[in-house]
Amino acid sequence: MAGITEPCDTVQQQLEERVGLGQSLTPELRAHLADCPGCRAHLTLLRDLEAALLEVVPPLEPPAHLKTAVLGAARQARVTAPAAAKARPHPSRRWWPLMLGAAAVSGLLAFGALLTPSRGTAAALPDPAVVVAAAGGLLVASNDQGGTLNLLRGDQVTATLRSGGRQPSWFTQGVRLGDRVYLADAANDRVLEVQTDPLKVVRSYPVPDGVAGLTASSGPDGGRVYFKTVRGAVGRLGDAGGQITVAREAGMPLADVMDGVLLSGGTLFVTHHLTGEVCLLDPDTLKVLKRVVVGGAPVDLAPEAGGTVLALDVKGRLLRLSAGGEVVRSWPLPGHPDKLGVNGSVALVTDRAGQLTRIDLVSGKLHPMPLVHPMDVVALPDGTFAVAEGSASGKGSVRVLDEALKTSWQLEGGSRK
Amino acid sequence: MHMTWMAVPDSRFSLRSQPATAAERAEEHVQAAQAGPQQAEQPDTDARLALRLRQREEAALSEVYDQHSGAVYGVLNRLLGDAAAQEALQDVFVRLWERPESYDPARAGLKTFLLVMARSRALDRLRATKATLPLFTEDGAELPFPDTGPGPVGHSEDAQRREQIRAALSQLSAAHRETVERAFLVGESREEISGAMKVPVGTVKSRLSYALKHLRAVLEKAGQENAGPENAGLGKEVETWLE
Repeated sequence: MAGITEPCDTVQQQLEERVGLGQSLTPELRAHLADCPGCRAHLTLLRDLEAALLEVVPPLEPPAHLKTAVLGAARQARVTAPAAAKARPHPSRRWWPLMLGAAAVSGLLAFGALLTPSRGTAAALPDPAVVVAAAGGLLVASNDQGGTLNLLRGDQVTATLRSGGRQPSWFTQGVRLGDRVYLADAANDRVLEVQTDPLKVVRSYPVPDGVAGLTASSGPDGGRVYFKTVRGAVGRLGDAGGQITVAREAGMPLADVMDGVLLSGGTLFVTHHLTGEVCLLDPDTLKVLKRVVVGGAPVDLAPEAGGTVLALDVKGRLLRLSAGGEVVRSWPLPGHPDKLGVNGSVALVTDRAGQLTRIDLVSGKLHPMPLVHPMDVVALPDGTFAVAEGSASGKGSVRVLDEALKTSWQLEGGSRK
Repeated sequence: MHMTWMAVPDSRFSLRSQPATAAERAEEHVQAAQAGPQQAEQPDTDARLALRLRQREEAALSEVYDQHSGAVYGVLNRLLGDAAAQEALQDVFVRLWERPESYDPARAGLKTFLLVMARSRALDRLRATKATLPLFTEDGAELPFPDTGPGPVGHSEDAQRREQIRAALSQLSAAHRETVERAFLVGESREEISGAMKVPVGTVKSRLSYALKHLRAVLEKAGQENAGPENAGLGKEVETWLE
């Protein structure tokens, strides 16, 4: 444009970059635009160009089930209180946006609700998000309004409990320690300690920064549960003073994230997906012994016989790590899997977008299996796997698969298939 | 714990020149549409849908989905691939449901609004994967039109202008078109384009500069031919909003 001044030239370059990258404008740019018709016209040109390009992208028919999911999610949003709606991610975002502002929630109200669980009628398996191999059965936690917990013995629901909480629960992970199960509830920034016989929430541990990962280990002192927070702190439940952080970057908010924590071979492995690292910590002092850059975004860990550890990279890799954390083998995976279960030489990973993948750890062969919304997978002691399948419509299911991916049984919304 | 989403306020909601809320304008559009059959065209259909969405009518969401999910999914699939596109698709429509007031039928067609939101959401996701930028405002609000969206002009005029842009793009070389598409559709940085097309960053910049100059020249020429000097297209409207 003739007669353009140097500042306008610079401003227009910034506008081009920001519109191109889908970024908002800075206050400085806005101030300039307020006084500069030429730059405003340039911005309009860029917006029109963006729209012109978008309009000619060929349409593509989405999978049929998505409409049901959208309408179901909308229905769920309708019944959610406004404050909760703001704090809770939409059900399609199956990872908790970990820096969401509900964190300051704690203790008293939620804890009171725990000790006297709601008397309301709790549905069976309304929206399974986490499944844990508990003593004598499966504990399934749902991301419904009441944070429903179901205990399954075989394929029968034998106990149901609403865990309550100030916000609708958003369970992301569960671990077993003896006769207790610990559940990470990201919406309420807490870890629930659950007794399974009889089914009862016995304690709530506030994790003010939001819990991103859990692991449990038994020992002579009765066992420990380690957690990682979304800000990168690592600590032990019930040990308020003993936290360290593995985060080195500035406090950049993390969106849609979880991490893996695992005690293996006397070392505490902790993924830090933000930097593509696996950190090795002393489980007693929590001192960081080593950081290994494995790349990608590692989000889950599982032990293997022989002392190696499997790490799942949500960007599409399964990694075998040595006891020292070094990558010794890598399997490329389809999609963006975020949960991992391992039984012997078979690993299953789930991608919430709709796929479970079996990996033969000996041959390296992959076998995909489409599922509607697999949220969690856990290896069971008998060599099978349990998968939690979420559903925004309130009719989720739990499925048990053998190592060849044959469905042994499936329990859906209270009815057996 | 506070989110630090990209916290740039949407200037559309703080403009003195806008006397009515988006909801009020939606109702005005519906009333205008009902006043005469000659006005019962696409924008008013969008306005009716917008109003029904604000009234929490689930059937309206179903209709919007039926009308536009293919176009939205096409964009998301192009930018994210299949798996992430499915999730993002739900995200786009449920966000429309949760914040129907974010769509102002006076400013854009619903399809355009959804496509721009889809691109914004997709690029947010890609950024989140790269762990470079936060996604939302501090209060969790979504900014599908972060700055100046299509303006309060006739939608047919908008469509005509974009058609002129596409025609102008078709006059460019294939390399120039690809560079423009990578930058303004796919959301690649200059450096990423340089790597993908195996040309220096300077070449990428000069191609973009040339392409934009060409588009501007074509649009200015068309504007002069069609409406005279008083019509500056959306630029004029944007100027009004920012006053």
